Amino acid sequence: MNTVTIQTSMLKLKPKISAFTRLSTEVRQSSQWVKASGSSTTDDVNIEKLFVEKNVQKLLTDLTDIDLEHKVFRPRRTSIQQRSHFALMTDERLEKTRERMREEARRFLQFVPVKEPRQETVQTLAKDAELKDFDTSKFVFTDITFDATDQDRTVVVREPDGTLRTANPEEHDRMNRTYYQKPNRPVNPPPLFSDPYLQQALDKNEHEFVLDWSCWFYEPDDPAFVRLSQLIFDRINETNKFHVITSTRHFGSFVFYLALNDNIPKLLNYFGSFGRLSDCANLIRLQKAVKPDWRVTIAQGDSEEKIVKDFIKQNARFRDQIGDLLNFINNGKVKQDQDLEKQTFGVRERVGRMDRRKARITSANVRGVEGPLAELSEEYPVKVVKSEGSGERDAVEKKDEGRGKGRWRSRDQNSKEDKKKD
Amino acid sequence: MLATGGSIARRLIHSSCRLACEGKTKEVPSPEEAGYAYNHVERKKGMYKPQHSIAEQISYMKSRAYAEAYKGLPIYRWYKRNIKGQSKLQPPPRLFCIDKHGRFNLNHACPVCRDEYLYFDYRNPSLIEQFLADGTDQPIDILKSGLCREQYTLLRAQLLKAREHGTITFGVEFRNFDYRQWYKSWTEEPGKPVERAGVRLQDIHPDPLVHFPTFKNDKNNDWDQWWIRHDKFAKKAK
Repeated sequence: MNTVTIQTSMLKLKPKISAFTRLSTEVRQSSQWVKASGSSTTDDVNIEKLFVEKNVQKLLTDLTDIDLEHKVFRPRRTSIQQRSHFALMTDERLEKTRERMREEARRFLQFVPVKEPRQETVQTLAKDAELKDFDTSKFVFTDITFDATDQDRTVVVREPDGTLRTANPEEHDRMNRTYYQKPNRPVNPPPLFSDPYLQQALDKNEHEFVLDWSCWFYEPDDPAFVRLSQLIFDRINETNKFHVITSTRHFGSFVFYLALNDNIPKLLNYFGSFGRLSDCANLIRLQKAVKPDWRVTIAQGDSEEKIVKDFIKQNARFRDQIGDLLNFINNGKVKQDQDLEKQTFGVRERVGRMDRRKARITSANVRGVEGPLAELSEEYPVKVVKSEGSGERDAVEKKDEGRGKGRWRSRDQNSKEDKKKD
Repeated sequence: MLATGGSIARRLIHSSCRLACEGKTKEVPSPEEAGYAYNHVERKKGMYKPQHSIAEQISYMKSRAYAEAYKGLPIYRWYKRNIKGQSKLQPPPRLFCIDKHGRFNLNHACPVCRDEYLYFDYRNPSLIEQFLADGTDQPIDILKSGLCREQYTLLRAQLLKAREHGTITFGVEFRNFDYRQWYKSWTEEPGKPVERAGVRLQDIHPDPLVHFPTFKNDKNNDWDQWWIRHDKFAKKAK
């Protein structure tokens, strides 16, 4: 059904609906971020409160490493062309500049807020039976007064059966996108966010692009956004492609999601395969902070190695999933992951050097098979205007009479020929 | 006259034919195997352009015939419009090379129209990428590309489609979140908002502070008195 949208300033309606602000925290039975399949019962987990806790934020920040060249400041396609800048500096200055770039990168690694999705239920404001069948389409009324923000804007819908109700999250955000347009934020969600195309993009390791765009397009508490990011996180975990999301702003919510769902062994194994023991310990600390269990706690003075070893002891069921970590703990061997480097290099290569505009046809090979005529060069003789040999010269210039450049260059000779004819 | 009803209908029919063809034939032979890669027709005016599916196009762009024809360069690289004089002063691009009946309107068609396998499609991003300006997701100027207006419009449409389908990626704007807006208990101020490509080298690595005095050329002649008095009066005025 098509929809008619009308913008109004609805000052009268506002006090009635203002109870529905986003900051209102309702007590929920189960969180959308916790999957029901887990063995433990999920009762009253306030994940928003958990996410902003000081120690959780600190652990997440520590777990997100900063890769300046290959991740944070990697070449991306922008909308305007830019020059490269070069600077000559001393070692000390270079170190200072790197440090400042790292500071800048930390701001680019701000986590996307982890929020419970907004309620899909709507509030019926009025039922006017006399308005029934006034039209075949819905009417959407949007508040576009100056002081209304995207979050608390009032949007109501008049159904064809005469019911006046508040808009659900999808309609609300769609109206925001309609009236407050931003670049790369079309009104309808792009096909990239649904499946055949999503999977194709993920096969090309474009996880960061999809997540970046989805957090630009959706609000963090949009049910569609929560669903989409969980889908991508699950696929990363299934296919062990952790390198695509490390050192991005989405790594925090990814790790938080895994820790909430008691699903960390694969990521632990990934850290272990690089020999990053402190990251392993931090991950285990995070999981125990998110899902506290009085039976297995970490003592104050525990070393990192002891934390990891205790975790392995307590979770014998993960033993077959963490082979690389065990190999590192027991034998001290680090897996050299070479295909990983290749993959990251591939990502850079694709955007970095986009054209190879280099002349491959030179005077040496212009006549041969490598020249513009390829195999046809055997059938047809190739004549070059700017030739080295004097024998060919006459033939070429006769052919080029009356053509732009050739005419100017060979004007003298032409005049000589004319004189001869006379 | 860019797209009349008839021509739109014709294109729709063709595109649906393409889709139907793809459904039927999964395996596409390479153009050399199929034996139709080379085209020796010199004068194409009044002839119909053959229709090929997108899978055929992709396999053609990977084939030896394509590599030999374009030598790994963008397809517009060696295209020269048939004009007299400087390229700066060239006339506006033509509206279309292929008319509403699907026939070539002229002998020297634009780089995309002239190749029987090529047409813009979001499923083949490598063709669209040839027409993007370096390091950006914007198409190059129409006069640089040598395309006719119709193909240039199709290029822009398919570029938009390719972006929305994720076949061509771009730098998405960075969204700065104010956590106080999203969490009740958060009290910390958000940092300065950042943007992609907003980091400039002179901010990160400022030039050393060298003080250059104001330029006063009339220093040691009679006119220097003017400046001295000027400074005095300027101060007074404050």
